[in-house]
Order: sequence, then structure tokens, then C-alpha cells
Amino acid sequence: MACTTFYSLKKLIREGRKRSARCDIVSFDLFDTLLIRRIHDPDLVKLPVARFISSLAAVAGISRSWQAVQKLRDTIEQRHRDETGQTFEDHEACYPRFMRELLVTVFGEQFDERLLERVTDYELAMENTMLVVRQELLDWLHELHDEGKRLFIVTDIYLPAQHIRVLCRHAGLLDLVEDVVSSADSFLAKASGKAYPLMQQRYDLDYSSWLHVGDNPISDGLRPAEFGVQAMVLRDGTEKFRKALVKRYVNYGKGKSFYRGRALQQLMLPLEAENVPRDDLYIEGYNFLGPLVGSFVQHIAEECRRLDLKRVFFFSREGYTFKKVWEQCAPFLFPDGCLPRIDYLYVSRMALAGASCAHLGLTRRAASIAFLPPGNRDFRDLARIFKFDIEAMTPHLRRHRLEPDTCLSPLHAGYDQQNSVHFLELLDDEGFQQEVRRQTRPANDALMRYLEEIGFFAEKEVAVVDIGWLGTIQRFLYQAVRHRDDCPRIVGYVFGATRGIPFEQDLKNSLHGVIYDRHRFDLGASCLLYARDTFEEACRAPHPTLDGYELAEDGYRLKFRNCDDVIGQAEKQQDLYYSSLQQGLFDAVPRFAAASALLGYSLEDYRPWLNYLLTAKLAFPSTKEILAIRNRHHLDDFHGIHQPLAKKVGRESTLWNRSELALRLSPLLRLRHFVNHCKSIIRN
Amino acid sequence: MLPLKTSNHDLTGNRFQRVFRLNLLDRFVPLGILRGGTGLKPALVLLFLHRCGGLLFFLLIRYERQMHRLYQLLRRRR
Repeated sequence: MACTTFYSLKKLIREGRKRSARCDIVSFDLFDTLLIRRIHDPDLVKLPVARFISSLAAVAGISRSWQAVQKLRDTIEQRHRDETGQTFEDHEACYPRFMRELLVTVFGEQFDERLLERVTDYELAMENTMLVVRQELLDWLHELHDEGKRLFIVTDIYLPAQHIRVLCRHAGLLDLVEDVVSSADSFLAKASGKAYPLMQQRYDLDYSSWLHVGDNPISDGLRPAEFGVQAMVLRDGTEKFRKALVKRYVNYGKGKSFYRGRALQQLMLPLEAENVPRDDLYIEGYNFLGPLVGSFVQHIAEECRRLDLKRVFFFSREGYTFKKVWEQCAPFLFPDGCLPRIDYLYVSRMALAGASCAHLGLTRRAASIAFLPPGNRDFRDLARIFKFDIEAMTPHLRRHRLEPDTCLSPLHAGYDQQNSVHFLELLDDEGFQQEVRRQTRPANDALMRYLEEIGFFAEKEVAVVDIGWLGTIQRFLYQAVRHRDDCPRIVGYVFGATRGIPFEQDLKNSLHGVIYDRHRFDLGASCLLYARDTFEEACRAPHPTLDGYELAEDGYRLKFRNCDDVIGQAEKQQDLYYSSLQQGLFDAVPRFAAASALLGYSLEDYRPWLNYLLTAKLAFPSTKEILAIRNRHHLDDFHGIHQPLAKKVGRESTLWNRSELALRLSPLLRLRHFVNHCKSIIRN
Repeated sequence: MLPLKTSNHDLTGNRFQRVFRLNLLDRFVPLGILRGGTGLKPALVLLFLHRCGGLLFFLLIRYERQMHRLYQLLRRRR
């Protein structure tokens, strides 16, 4: 009965409870017993550490690729093991010793103890992200602890006990055990059996009253049995199955880039007690939005490092989510800390529209953007958007045979092409433009004060981040600030760039679509266009939209939209409905960051998988998915209240607006919509 | 309500069968840049593993030593 093998954790614990009743001491192996790994190969954790050391070396002016650092680490560690093997039976190594030697070799005179601390902390943090405690064993440990048993954790690894305690504390094990024993401290390991007499002497243990639990048939089975310790060995087929899948995905990803994103998601999966039932929206937030938004933010950070951009401004309100994702990702993906400073900028189309006219006046492009929503009909809508005083504008309108309610949009009844001609003449009227500039100047001044306070003009180049889609906010912002000598170069990154209205790029203003860009033909990514509102609603901040900037005695005031009206209440309802979707996204991000850091991939590696995700979830979704995910309400503050003519707008409905009956019964509906979508992408 | 990971270690709401089906559709209707997609052999292996891996490893873990001997024999023969 000295060594028994169990193929099921439940059976092991059941038998363990019986045996531990007759024992005073219970010891556990740590890795693959108390803790399981998300990855199949524990050595993969060394790779992000090698990248970290390489990036620290680069900051110190030393050029060493991470592959060279990893090779050096392996060489030094092996040498240490060989040296230990000359004196001890176990060829063990001790992490602080070989890591110090590695860092001294790489950094030379620039090495200091703080460097070793940083590298060690990062390696332990990465280990912690990949380790999950087995809940059933943890529960049993609690029982044993309550029964007053002496509990120990004993492991064969190069990490000394002080580092293993960090891992145990993170897993909630440290308070339950008397001590942690590592072979790295004494070079006496379980593999040779030497660890058991060491423990017996150190802690005055009785072999006959000792139960050991582990996963290795030799180290945790045969060796303790030789001393009369009762040994229980767990051979878990489910764990092997899980790791076999991870191994397949990771290895296939090396050859086929499609699997890189899939391997990422496999590593992101919750295990053990983390894997609890969740509602549909949470699952979509975690499994669909999480990798998309995480990859988006990772790419922006990499671009900022490449271009040496020192400030990043996240535009409200979707930027709230992107900023939160950045804050969660950065410690794992970029542990060297060489990232720009990030800020959240309170902006909106409505707030910036008026301020953007203060120096350039109302441009044709700005007016055409205002008339994009089909609910906008006449100059009153323009006045609402750009915050014009209609009474002061009316004489200028009348000079060009226009009235405030003259129809200027071809989508509405009463439209005459001559109206558009007169309107264009109005835009060329210097008197009108002077009035526009006069009326919008206070908003622009308030905006300047806000931007100066937040340090927008402090750097020569800044990055701005938004969801998309025409880049209107960035466009208006640039128009509002370009007159200044200290206007920075604005590099814009959007989730999706539809470019329905051409974006005027120049040396000081550029826009890049990250997940989707119309300038970069990509059918899969273009599926984003199926459900743009869903992404906006999913990423939106829980505060009202900004309505404008006002001058105040002490500087400026940000004017937010009132939420008490019908639209405001509808928005709150939508926020509540999507709260679990957002929660899923935020829970996915730290796991995304850890998995991505481990795999060492970036957006371009994940792109085929992300294209598949977008196609599968947006172009070929199940009816259940559409019904769960589609947003209930969407606020478009640009949109007017006028009803366009039905024949002008057309009765065409998108896949995501179809009724449940059509979604379930209409044959080949998704394929038909997809073919139409392809046609529109190719033709436009 | 379902957990995020299925009992055969797949993604809830995006199981590998769905991946395979869409990649199959991609052969007839171009869906986008999938950079070669799943590939037939890896896809079949993963489909099999997800579907039958539970039973497979239930047996493999119990007869690991024998399977390992067989594997070494086959390797030597090759």
C-alpha cells in the first residue's frame, strides 16, 4: 500500500481522506498536483522573460536578441546543473544564481541588484498568470488544515523556496502549509529521494505517519515509498488531454498563422474554479470582444513604441474601454515600462463640431458630415450640431435665397437641387463665414484652455485612439487646433476606418484603421461593418456624452448631455443590458495579455484568426447570437428627428436588423447578405 | 448559462466544428484573409481530439507504459 496510483482526482481525494485520518503529516507536490499550468510546456514562461531582458538591454544601449538571451540562459543553467551534479545526486540549479550570472554577462558593469529583482518579479508574475490552483485539492487542504495536520509543499524546481512562496501565496496555499521545500535551496530533490530524509530531519517528521501526494510515479511515488511514506500518485488523463490540445494549437501556430489566435484563446480559457457558468453576453465579451480589443490595444502600444510617441489620448467615450484595456495589458506585454503617457480626452463630435469652425469656418466637408445621418434635413440641424444662433444666421441665409427650414438633404421631401447650389454659395460667402467664426470662437477658446491644461500641446507628436468610423472627432479636433504653432502631429488609430468621407491626411494629421481599414482590402475584417453600433455600445464609457465646451471664469467647463430625457434613459438601459458583455471583455484582457506575452505574437499574427472571428460572429452568426448581442438602443447625437423619404433611404435591412422569424427560416439568408456585402465592399 | 470552456476544452460559442465549417465554406466562397485557414490534416486531428480526446486519454493514461514501449518499437522500426 506504500504507493498507489489514481487516475481520477475525486478517487484520490476520497482515498486520501481515509488515509490522512491515520496520518499527522501530509505533503504535496506543487506543479501539476496542487497547481496546474495553462500551458503544456513550463519552459515557455522563460521566453517572455528573455524578451524582457533583451528590451532592458536595448534601453541600456546593449544589443542582444531575446533568442540569444534565452540561449545564454540555457547554457548557464546547464553548466550550473552539471557543476551541482558533481557533488549532489540531483542535477539541480538555483534561479537567483544563474539569473544573476546571466544578467551580469548581458549587462556587464551596468548590472545591479534592482535589475535581478525586476526580472525575478516579472518571471514570477508570468508564472502566476499561467498557474491555476486545483479547487478540489485546495478544499481538501483546507480540511486538513482545520484538522490540525502538518502540511508541507515540496517541489523539484530551480526556484528557491522564497520564490515558490510567492506562487503559493498567489494561489491561496501559503497560509495553509507549515513550510515550502524546494530542491533549489539544498540541491536535494525528490527525484533521487534525498528530499524526504532532509524534510524528516529538518521538521522532525515520522515516516510512518506521513502521506505524500504528487503526480510523478518516481519522485512522488517510488522514492517516498522507499522510506515508508505512504504515497499517492495522480495520473490525470483529463489534464493530459487538455495539454495535448494546447500543445497542438501552439505547435500548429508555428507553421500556420491561422492557429496563432486560436492558441491565444486556448491559453485564455478559464480552468478549475474559474470556469463557472456565465450568461451569453459575458461569453461573447470574453471569447469574441476580448481578443479583438486586446489585439487592437497591443498594436497601438507597439506602434507608439516604434514611432517613439510620448503621449496617447483616448477619445471619449469608447476610449474609456481602450484605456482600461491598455492599463491591464501593459504590465505583461511591455514590462520594461517604455510606453507613452496615456490620458482620457473628453471629446465628442457634437462638442468639437462648433469649436472646429472657429478659424476655418464651416467647410464643405464638415457640412457634408453633418448631413450624413438621414434624419438631418436643413440648416436647423446644422445649427443644432455646430451650435449656431439661427437668428443671427438668417440674414445670411436669405441673401442666398435660403431659409432655416429649406430642405438641403436630397433624402427629404421638398428638396430642390438649387437649394444645394445656394448652400454652397453660402459656404463661399465671407460674411457668413465671419459670423460662423464669431459665434464658435468661445467654444474654441474653451477647448484650447482644456487642451492646454491636459498637456495636449506639450509634445510634438501625439497618438489619438478612437473606435472609428469616419475619424470625425479627429478631423474636427485637428481643424480646431491646427492654427496653433505648437499644434502637435496627430497620429490617429481607430478600431475601424470606414472612410466614407475622405479623411484629409497631411504631415500633421493621419488616420490608421487597425482592425479594419477601407484602404486595406480585407473581406473578413470588413464584417465589422455588419454591427458597428454593437462595438460602440460595448466599448462605451458609463458617463454621458459631451455636448460642448464653455468658457468659465476660472477657465473652461465641460458640458455633458442631460441624461434625464427619453434618449438618456434608453442609453442607461442599454448600458445595463451590455454590462455583462463589458465585464466579459474586462475579465478577458489580463488573460489575453499574459497569453500574448507568452506566445510573443502581435496583431499581424492574430489577424487571420480575428478575421475568422469577425466573419463567424458577424456575417454567419447563429440566431441566438444575434438576438443576444444586438444592441437595444443606440444614441447618435448627430442624428436629427426628420423622417427621410422611404424610397430614398430604401427598405434594405441588414442581417442584424432582421426579425427572429427571418433569421431562423429564411434560406441561405446569411450567405445572401454576405454576397451583397462583398459586392458593396468591392464596388465601393 | 454555460461555462466559457466546454467539457472537451473548446471555446463555448465557437467550437472547432464551427471553425472547420467556415473554413470549408471558404473553399467555395472567399471569406477573407485567413492565410491558408486551418489546413485539412490539422483540422481533422483537432476535430478528432476535441471529440474523442476524453476517451482516448482515459485509455492512454492507464496504458502509458505499454503505449510508450509500442511507440519506441515503431520508432526503431522506422
